[in-house]
Amino acid sequence: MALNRSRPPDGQTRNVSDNPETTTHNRSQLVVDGQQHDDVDAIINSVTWGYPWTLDGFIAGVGAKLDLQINRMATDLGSVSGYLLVTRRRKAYLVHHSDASAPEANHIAAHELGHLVWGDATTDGGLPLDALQSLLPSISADNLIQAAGRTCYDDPSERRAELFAYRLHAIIDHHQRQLPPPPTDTDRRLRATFSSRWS
Amino acid sequence: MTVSILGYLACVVTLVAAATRVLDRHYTHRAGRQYLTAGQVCSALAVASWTHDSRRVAIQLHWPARLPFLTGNVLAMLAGFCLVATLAYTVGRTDHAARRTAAHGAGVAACCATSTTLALTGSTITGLLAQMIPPCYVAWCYARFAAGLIARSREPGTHLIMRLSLHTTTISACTRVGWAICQGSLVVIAALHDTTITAEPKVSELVAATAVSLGAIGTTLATWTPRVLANLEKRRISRAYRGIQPLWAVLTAARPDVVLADRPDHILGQDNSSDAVLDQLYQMVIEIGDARRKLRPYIDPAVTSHFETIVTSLHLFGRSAATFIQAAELACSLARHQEGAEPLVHRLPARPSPNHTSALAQARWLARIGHHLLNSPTILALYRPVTPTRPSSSPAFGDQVAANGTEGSTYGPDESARIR
Repeated sequence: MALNRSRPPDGQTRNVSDNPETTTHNRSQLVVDGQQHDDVDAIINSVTWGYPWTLDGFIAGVGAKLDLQINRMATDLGSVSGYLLVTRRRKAYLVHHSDASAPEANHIAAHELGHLVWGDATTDGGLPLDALQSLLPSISADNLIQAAGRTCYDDPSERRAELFAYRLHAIIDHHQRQLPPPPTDTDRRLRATFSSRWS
Repeated sequence: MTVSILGYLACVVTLVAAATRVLDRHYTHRAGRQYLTAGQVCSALAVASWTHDSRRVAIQLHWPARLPFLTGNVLAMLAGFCLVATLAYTVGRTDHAARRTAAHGAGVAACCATSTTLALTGSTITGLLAQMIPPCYVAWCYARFAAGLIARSREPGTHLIMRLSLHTTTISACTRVGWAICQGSLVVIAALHDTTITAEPKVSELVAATAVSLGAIGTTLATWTPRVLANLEKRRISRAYRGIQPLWAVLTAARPDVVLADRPDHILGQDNSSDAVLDQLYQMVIEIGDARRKLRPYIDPAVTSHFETIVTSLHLFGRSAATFIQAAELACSLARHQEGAEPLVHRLPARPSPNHTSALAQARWLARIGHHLLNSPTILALYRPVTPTRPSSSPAFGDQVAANGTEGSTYGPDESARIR
């Protein structure tokens, strides 16, 4: 099952496999900036999630859509803030630096999730897999097949993943600012009577 | 006179609350809300009618002396009916609400007619009966209203502000029940002593004014509290945004690669200016975090250990001490990075970040670090970010600390001027 994607500028539909082990990555088919916004929204809207509108809920929705078990991890990654690791056993790890605060950790995880949904992970990810395995001893190097690191934004895929993270944060923030849905009909009527703003 | 002023004040507050509800641009015509508004108007006018000055005005106008009192009683009963109707449309079964409201309407009409007729007969006994009917009916209505609200406010899932609104309204209804009991007791006492109550006691006026005011606050709490909280948050965001900007400028000047330049404005999709500032604040927090992480290998561990030992002598404790040490580390790494030094092999282990749950909280923390970084003479001895007029000399940080002596948690205008 692939996530909904908008058509690339050349008019060709990207054929992204459901299986991350066999996904092919063609960097030349990246969409241009003007279309990234729509592309990001299309991907976010295709994921099934809802109240209480948390990042973890969205990650679970992506995992269900891609048939992947997605975990979040924290470790000391040095000067790199985050990594995406994909293993042979259909597991993905969104790794963030252990010195990151909760908002930073969420942002890094969202960035790595952006790499995952676009299939940006490669066999080296900027670091040899054995080096990654030394950073994450709980994951066997034999199992690691793909990785992507969060570095600078001169790379279009990094820039797109970062835009995805900002957009996802804005959507989550927008939803969380809304009042929770009324649990009962009585609660809805109470709001309608006592508060014009929330009705 | 004071009690009358309080009564009029409660009347004005309640009328304003009712008008606010009607004039609100989000107003929608719902039966429950309309009955609530009508009940508030009746309550406000009842309280104004009961005041001593209203009676004096009626006498001066050669009206019957008991007219304001009777008018107040009728209005109080109408207010009670409106609240019971509000309850029926808000928490009761919708299909039964109209029928129940009609039945209550017949009941209140009968009560008003009986009370007024008995009051106008002139007999002492009928006059006392006429005075007993309104408090009894009002007590029944408000007790029912309070019971309905208490039951609903206990339901799980009710929002905190909504619950607060319901609790305040319930207290108002209970106060009104207290007023009714007080009134009924006065009538009984008057009957026992064979006298007639013609004037509203001051305590009763005060209780009624309090109940009406609490009702006005409680029923509008859920409307204006979110707006007040939003405005307060907007101010906090603006302050944090201003506070974080200097640190962001310094760090992104050193590490421009962390900045996501030319971000499409519509990527965040916010049309509210406050949200736009918050989104910019969030991006700055993320970029500062990235820059700090990239500069971390340049931190000399000796600087950290040195500043950890001297913060006490600088009279810095707790949050100030932590932010001061982090500012010192940052100054050290910036200085080494600026000099083109190689990253240190033995870098510091990752330091767990303070438990910031939001970007705003983290921005306030970072603003403190920026304040130390750009204002502390001790830290400026390590790294001087802006030196257009005075080239900085960078002596060994230990010597400079010794030369500066002690250091306060805030820095004087002279220090700020030196930076600029």
